[in-house]
Amino acid sequence: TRNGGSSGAKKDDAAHLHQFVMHASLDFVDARVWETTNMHLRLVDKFNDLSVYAFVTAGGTRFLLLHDQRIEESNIGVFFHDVHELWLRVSMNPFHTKRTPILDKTFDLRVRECAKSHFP
Amino acid sequence: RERARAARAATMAARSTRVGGRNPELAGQAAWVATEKVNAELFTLTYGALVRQVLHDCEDRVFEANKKLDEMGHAMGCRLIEDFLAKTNARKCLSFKESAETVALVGFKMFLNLECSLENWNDDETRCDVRFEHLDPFVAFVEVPDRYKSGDDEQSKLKYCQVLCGAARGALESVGVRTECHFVKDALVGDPSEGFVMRLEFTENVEDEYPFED
Repeated sequence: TRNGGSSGAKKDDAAHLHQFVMHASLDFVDARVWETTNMHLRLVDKFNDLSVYAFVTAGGTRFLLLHDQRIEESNIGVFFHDVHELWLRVSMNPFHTKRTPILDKTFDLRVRECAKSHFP
Repeated sequence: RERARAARAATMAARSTRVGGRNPELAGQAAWVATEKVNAELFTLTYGALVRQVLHDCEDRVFEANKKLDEMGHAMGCRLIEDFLAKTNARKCLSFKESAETVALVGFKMFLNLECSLENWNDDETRCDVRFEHLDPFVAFVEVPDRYKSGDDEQSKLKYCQVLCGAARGALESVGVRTECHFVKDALVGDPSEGFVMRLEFTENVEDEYPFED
């Protein structure tokens, strides 16, 4: 399954571009997965000034981070780690499958809080 | 003389933790300490998979799934009572109140480490509510999807912990007490702040049946 997370304020008209860029970067994610044993894949793709960072869990779930500004790479690692913990709680729910979208509002809220705290 | 004193102290201790004695909470605690433990998350995930599978088998018909979970619980209860009686030095309960206390305060504590309290007894002591501090072994991490908890009818809501109710019912039925058992407050499908409250109601005494025609 794919999970997208984007931080910073995004305009609606740019949202389509962002979604497109993230989907396009999935091929690079698939290629990069074989090159390292880390879950955090760091920078996988750039498009103009948009950069995509990826994190792949042991079960194959991908977290993608799309950013259009310069940010510290070390923060990204910690951010992904925190999101991973939040996601683990959701995935332990017996009714959650790889196909079900995560509609939980508290999950959304917590991910946003993480983003705010790591990328001020 | 030292040895005699020590022996007397040991008997006194054993007597207070004996089921049917004055203190069922203490008996439950002692029984829990003595049982073999299994990883709690393993139990939670296994139970979750069980409920998922039952729902799948019943093709999302919640009423049928609830009934199936209750039946499974009943079968488990009939077997667990033997284990319970063997492991605790339980004496015969003289009233429904004692039976309910034994099931809730000793049985649930011993097998699942569930803290609970009995409240809201009716006048002739045949019905009570069992309020659980938490039902973590069953409900940790669980979020029931909307399709199993929508609808005004109670019957159309998933009774996630019905196996526990079935087990209580099965165990009591095996020792001759027929009861009705279901959750009146279920935080998974109702108001989360109300917690989990199970109602245990005495129906009748079961007569011994001979298994063959006379």
